[in-house]
Amino acid sequence: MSFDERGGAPVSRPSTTEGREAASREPADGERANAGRRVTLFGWAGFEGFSAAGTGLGRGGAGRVSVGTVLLGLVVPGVLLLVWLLASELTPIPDYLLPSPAQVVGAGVELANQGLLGTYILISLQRVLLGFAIGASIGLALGAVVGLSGVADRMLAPTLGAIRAVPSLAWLPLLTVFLGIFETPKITLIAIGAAFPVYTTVSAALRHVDPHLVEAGRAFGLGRLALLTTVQLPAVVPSVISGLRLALAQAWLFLVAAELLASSMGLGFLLTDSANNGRTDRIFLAILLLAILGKTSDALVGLGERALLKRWS
Amino acid sequence: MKRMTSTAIAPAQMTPALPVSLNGVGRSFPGAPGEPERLVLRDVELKIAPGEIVALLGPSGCGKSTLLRQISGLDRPTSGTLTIDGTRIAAADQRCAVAFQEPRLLPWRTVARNIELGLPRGTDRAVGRARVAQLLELVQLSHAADLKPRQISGGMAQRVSLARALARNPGVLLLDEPFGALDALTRLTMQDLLVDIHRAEPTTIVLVTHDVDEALTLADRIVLLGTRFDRPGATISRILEVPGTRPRDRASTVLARLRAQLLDALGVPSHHDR
Ligand SMILES: Nc1ncnc2c1ncn2[C@@H]1O[C@H](COP(=O)(O)OP(=O)(O)OP(=O)(O)O)[C@@H](O)[C@H]1O
Ligand SMILES: [Mg+2]
Repeated sequence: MSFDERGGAPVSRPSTTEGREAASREPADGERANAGRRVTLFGWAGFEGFSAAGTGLGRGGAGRVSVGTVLLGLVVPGVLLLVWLLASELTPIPDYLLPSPAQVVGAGVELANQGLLGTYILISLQRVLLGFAIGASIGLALGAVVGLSGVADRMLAPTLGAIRAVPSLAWLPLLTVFLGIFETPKITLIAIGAAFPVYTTVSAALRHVDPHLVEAGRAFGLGRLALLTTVQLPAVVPSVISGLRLALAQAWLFLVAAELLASSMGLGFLLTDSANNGRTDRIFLAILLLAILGKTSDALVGLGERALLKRWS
Repeated sequence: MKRMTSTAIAPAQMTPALPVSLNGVGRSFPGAPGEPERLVLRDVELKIAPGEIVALLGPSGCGKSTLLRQISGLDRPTSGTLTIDGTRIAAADQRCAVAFQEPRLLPWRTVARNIELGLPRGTDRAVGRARVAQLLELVQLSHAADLKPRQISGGMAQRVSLARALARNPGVLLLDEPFGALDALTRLTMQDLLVDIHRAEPTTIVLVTHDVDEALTLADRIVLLGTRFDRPGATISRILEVPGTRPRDRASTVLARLRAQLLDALGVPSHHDR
C-alpha cells in the first residue's frame, strides 16, 4: 500500500465532503484541492524520507524490549484511563468539557468514516518526517562544518546562534509570505526546528572529540578525511543520535505550531478546528494521537539508537 | 615463562632500523596569559644508532613524553632540529610508530580492529589480517581479539597499544611507558617479549620509563633527563651505557651497581653497599 493511495483516496471520495456538518470546518477550496494533490506529490517523497530514516536508524532491529518493561510502562496510562473513565461517568462534569473515552473513540470512528482521520494523520506524519529529514540533514552538515573547522566556527556560529534565538513561530508569517500556504512553508518551519538540535549537539560533540584519539589517528597516518571517518564521526555517533531524538521532538512541536496557525489539514488543524466548534472529544482525540505518534516515532529512533550504540561504543 | 621463537615474530616485511639524531632540541610552551612562556626542554643533543634501544629516564613532568612527541613529529621543537635517517622529521612522521602513555584505543573498535589501525596505509586486507593475528598472539591477546576496549583490563589495553605500534614494522619505535599499567609479572613477560621482537627485527627503539630495572633490562643506553637547579628546562644530565647483551640477567652485580648509580642520579637513596 502506498502513501498516496492512503493519503489521496479519501479526499476524492464524495462521502468525504458530503458527510461534513459544519461549514466552518470546510477548508478553503483552493487549499483543499491542492492539499489533495500535494499529498500525492509529497507522498512519494515523504515515503522515501521515511524509509530512509527507517533503514538508517532501525537497522539490525536490535534491542529487544522485555514484556515486563512494556507492561510496567503501561501501568500509568492504564490508571489514567481508569481515572478518566470514572471522572467522566461519575462526576457531573458535562460531556462538552470532559468527554468519556468512548465518546473520544466515537469521534475517531466518525472522522475515520468521513475519510478524514487517515488523511490528517498521514499528512501530519508526512510533514514531520519530511521536515525532520531535511532539517536533520542540514543540521548534520552545518554541525560537521562548524565542529571541524575553526574558521567556519568563528564565521558561522554567531549567525546560526542568532537564527536559533528567533522563536520558532516568528518564522511562520514570513515563510507563508515567501513560500505560499501549502506544504512548503510548513515543512520549512519543521526543518528549521529540527535542524538546530542536530547542529548544536553535533558541532559541540565534534569540537570535544578526545584530542588524544585524534592525535593517535594522526600518528598512524590518517589524513584529514580518513581522520574524519575513522575517528571523529564514530566518536560523535552517540551525540548525533541524541540530537536526532531531540530534533524529532522539535519536529512534532513545530508541526503542531504550523498546523494550528496556517493549515486546513492535519492534527494541528483538527485541534483548532475542534476548538472553534466546541468538539472537545476531537481535541482529546488529536492530543491522544499526537502522544501516540510522537512516542512511537521516538521509540523507533530509540530502537535505532540501541543498534547503533551497540556498534559504535 | 615461555619464550617466543624468532619465527613467530618474523615480520611480514622487514623495515630497516633507522638512525635518529636530535640537535639542540628545545621546546617551550606558552605560559598562562600574562606569564612568560615555560621552557620544558632545552639543548637536547643525542645521536641514536640504527637498531639501538635507548631508555629515557627522568622524574615525572620533566618532559619525557614531550621529547618523544618531537621525535614522532606530532609536535615541533621551538628550537633545534631532529632527523631520522638524515632527513628532517615530518609532521606525524610515518617512519615512526608510537605507543602512547595512555593506550588511546578507539572505543568503538574491537581489539583486532584497533591493531589494524597501526598497519601501513594501503596494506592488503589478507596480509593485514594475518599480521594482526600474528601480533595478537605475540602480545598474548588472541582470546580478546573481538572484545571492545571497555571490556579489557588496563594492562591488556596497553598490550593492544603496543601491538598497534608494532604493526607497521617501524624504522623507529617510540614507546612511552608501554608497560606502566602492567602487573609485575606481565611486565617481565612483556619486557622479554620486547627483547625477542627486537632480536627478530632490530628496529631503533626509544623507550620512556619510570622503572630503573626496566631500563637496565632493555636498553643499550640509558639517557637521564633532569633539570639543573639554576636554570629552567630539562636536558640530558647523564648517559649510561649498559654492558652485556640481551637477554640480561636481572640479578647481575654489574646491573646492581648501575642501578645504584641511576637511583642516586635520580635522587633516590639506593641503600646499596659499595
Ligand atoms: N601541550 C602542552 N601545553 C603546555 N604544557 C605542556 C604541554 N605538554 C606538556 N606540557 C608540559 O611539559 C612538561 C612535561 O610534560 P611531559 O608530559 O613531557 O612529562 P613526562 O616527563 O612525560 O611526565 P610523566 O613521567 O609524568 O609522564 C609538563 O610540565 C607539562 O605541563
Ligand atoms: Mg609522560
